[in-house]
Amino acid sequence: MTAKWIILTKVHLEGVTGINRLRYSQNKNEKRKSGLVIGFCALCALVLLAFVCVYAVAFAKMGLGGYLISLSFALAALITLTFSLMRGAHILFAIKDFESLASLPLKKSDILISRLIVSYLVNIAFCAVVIIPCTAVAFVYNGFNAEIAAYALLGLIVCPVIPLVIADVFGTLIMVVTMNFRYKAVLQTALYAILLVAIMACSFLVSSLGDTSANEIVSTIDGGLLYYPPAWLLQQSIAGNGFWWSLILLGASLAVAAAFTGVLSVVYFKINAKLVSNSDNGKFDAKRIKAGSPFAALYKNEMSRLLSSPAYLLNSTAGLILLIILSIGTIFFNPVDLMGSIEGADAATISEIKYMFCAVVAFSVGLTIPSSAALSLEGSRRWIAFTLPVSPLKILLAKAFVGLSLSGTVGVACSAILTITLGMNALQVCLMFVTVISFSLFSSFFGIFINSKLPKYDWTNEGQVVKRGAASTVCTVAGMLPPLAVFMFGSVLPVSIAFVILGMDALYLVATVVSIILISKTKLQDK
Amino acid sequence: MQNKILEIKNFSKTYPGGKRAVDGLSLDICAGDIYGFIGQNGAGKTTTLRAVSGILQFDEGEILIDGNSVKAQPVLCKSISAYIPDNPDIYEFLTGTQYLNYIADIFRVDQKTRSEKIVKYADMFRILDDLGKLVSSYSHGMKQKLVIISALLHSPKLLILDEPFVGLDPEAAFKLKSVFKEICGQGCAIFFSTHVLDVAEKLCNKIAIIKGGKLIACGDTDEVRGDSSLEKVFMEVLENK
Repeated sequence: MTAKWIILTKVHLEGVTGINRLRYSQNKNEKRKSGLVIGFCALCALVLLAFVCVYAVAFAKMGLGGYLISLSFALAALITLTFSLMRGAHILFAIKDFESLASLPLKKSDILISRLIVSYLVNIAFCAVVIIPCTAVAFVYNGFNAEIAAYALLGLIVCPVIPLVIADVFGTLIMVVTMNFRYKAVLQTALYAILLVAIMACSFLVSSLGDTSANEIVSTIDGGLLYYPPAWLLQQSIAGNGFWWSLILLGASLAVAAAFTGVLSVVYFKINAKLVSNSDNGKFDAKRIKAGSPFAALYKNEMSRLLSSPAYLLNSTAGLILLIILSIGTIFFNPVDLMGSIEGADAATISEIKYMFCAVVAFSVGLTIPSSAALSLEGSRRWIAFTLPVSPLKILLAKAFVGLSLSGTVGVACSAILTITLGMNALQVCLMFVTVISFSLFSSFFGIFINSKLPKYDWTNEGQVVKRGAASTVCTVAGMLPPLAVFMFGSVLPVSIAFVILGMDALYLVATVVSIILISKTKLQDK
Repeated sequence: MQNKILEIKNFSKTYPGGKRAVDGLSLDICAGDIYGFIGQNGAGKTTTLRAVSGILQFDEGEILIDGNSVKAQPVLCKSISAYIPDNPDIYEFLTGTQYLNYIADIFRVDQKTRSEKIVKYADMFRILDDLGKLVSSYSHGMKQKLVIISALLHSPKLLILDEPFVGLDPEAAFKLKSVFKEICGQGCAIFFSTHVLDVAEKLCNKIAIIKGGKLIACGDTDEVRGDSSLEKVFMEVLENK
């Protein structure tokens, strides 16, 4: 007889990935869309793979091939931790099907294990994109070794476990601490932001190599790996110090996961019951009945949705939070001053670095696009929007404007700080503001356009559309990949980075105009 | 000649998967009518109601609300009608008052009218004191009452309801029937689906029976029922056709 957690995992996985829809839907259009999304995801994975390979080769050429696997393991763990924190503990709690699950003869651990495994499988895909190419590059430079290949495989299998558990422990604690507050979404977002900043600061401190000689880098990496013991354990086995270290890594990962599941099982139903019940004591006040314009009502409603949903708010503002941290950070640690103090850094190089910050701002704005999930979040309540006596354009624009007011205000304010702290000239200031405005417009209107083409209404958890939805994936990639590429490869291009950014801005403005034209033709109806 | 509020002309709906849910359905509903729509599960009732309310796309046939095409003038049609689904899934992040304000703003209901109607109907359905609470704290029945109130705010010419009595307590169900009669007396038309044949028989002046997407019988309740009960007629119709 199949274990219950396997049955739950299978069903949950079918919901998350949409495999069932692809297999059984009789709607050819729906199948075609699913196929396109899968193809797009595969393409993104290939691009990411290429990025990783470029960096891995650079590391190997520096003579660090022996550390590539454990470094990629640590990097994949950091990515898993960051992204798992960004999604919060919403895959575990306050899920729409909680009551039906709670009524079934299931152990709490069955529910928890199934949720964690789905999360694990999603994250292992990301880890594979990082660890596999690094392992391949390591073998190309150091020669193939079956034993090391086995350790790399083991590393890949256990890599997401500990970061996932850490993220879920913090997520659970944050959820429990904030669940009694009316504006818990805002509070949770603030707490997650503090955590993300702490992780960024720690990883920055650990990874700041500073030294340039190979031996010094090796000793820094050795010390750095100690900060993340699982990576250090893996490195011990890879370095030929015995397979016991890997066994300890495997045992520790399983123990951490089992301990988390066991402890959370005890309080799981209590937390969920508290989250789904609501002892709101608000009294009716006739003075609160106030008339307003239809568009203002649509906008306010969308803003209320954003501020009430921790998953939605956190995923919509993560990029902007990074931008705020970055711009405030430049007040204290100015990278331009730092470059100026380096011997050989000429004015042209410093000018290029300043232009590079336009790409950084664009990346931050394009990283999280709230409007890409705004329509999907209507879910089973879409009948309200679909029966309102206003044009679909107005409904979609109201959703886009919520994103625009967020990214526009934060983006412009942060750009203003950056232009001052980095001491930009008039041309650089203009380019900075053109970039932030074009990316804010693009992210808002392109986001809602893509969501209207790729809506997903049958979700059980907001995270499914906010974080893992097809529309949000397409928009995030479209919004962040080009500026990321400019940031990483801009310096090797034969033209000034300013022209590349200007070209990118123009392209994004054209895409915005096209999106608005297409939005105006959209119908909000079921098919 | 009576004022036709809803005209469904040869309406058919085939879902993308190929399933033909409704096939050539035609019926007229006039001002003051309380029109019951009955049929088995999957007969095509909800599909028809969703198409009338503008939620569902359709290619074949025509649906007119007060002479306006649902396809060509969807915003106008929606502004003079109201739809209440079988499952009152509404924005849980709003309070009851905020939800009603939201709907009233979009339907451009003035301050005085909305205040009067909200207090009147919320008091009638006994949820006035709960309007300050978040919808997430509401029971199924309370949500249903809130949706009913929101549908009445702009005095629609056509009220479309899918299983409106499911989840309502007996008192609320009784009061809803009274509201139906009251607004129909003012010229509104009501088109609702139900599985409760007793309610349909007592409340509706007209009835339509649908089976497998096709209209089997329609007309005045007395004509459809004849000398028998509606339940008996319904069973016979299902078995014979």
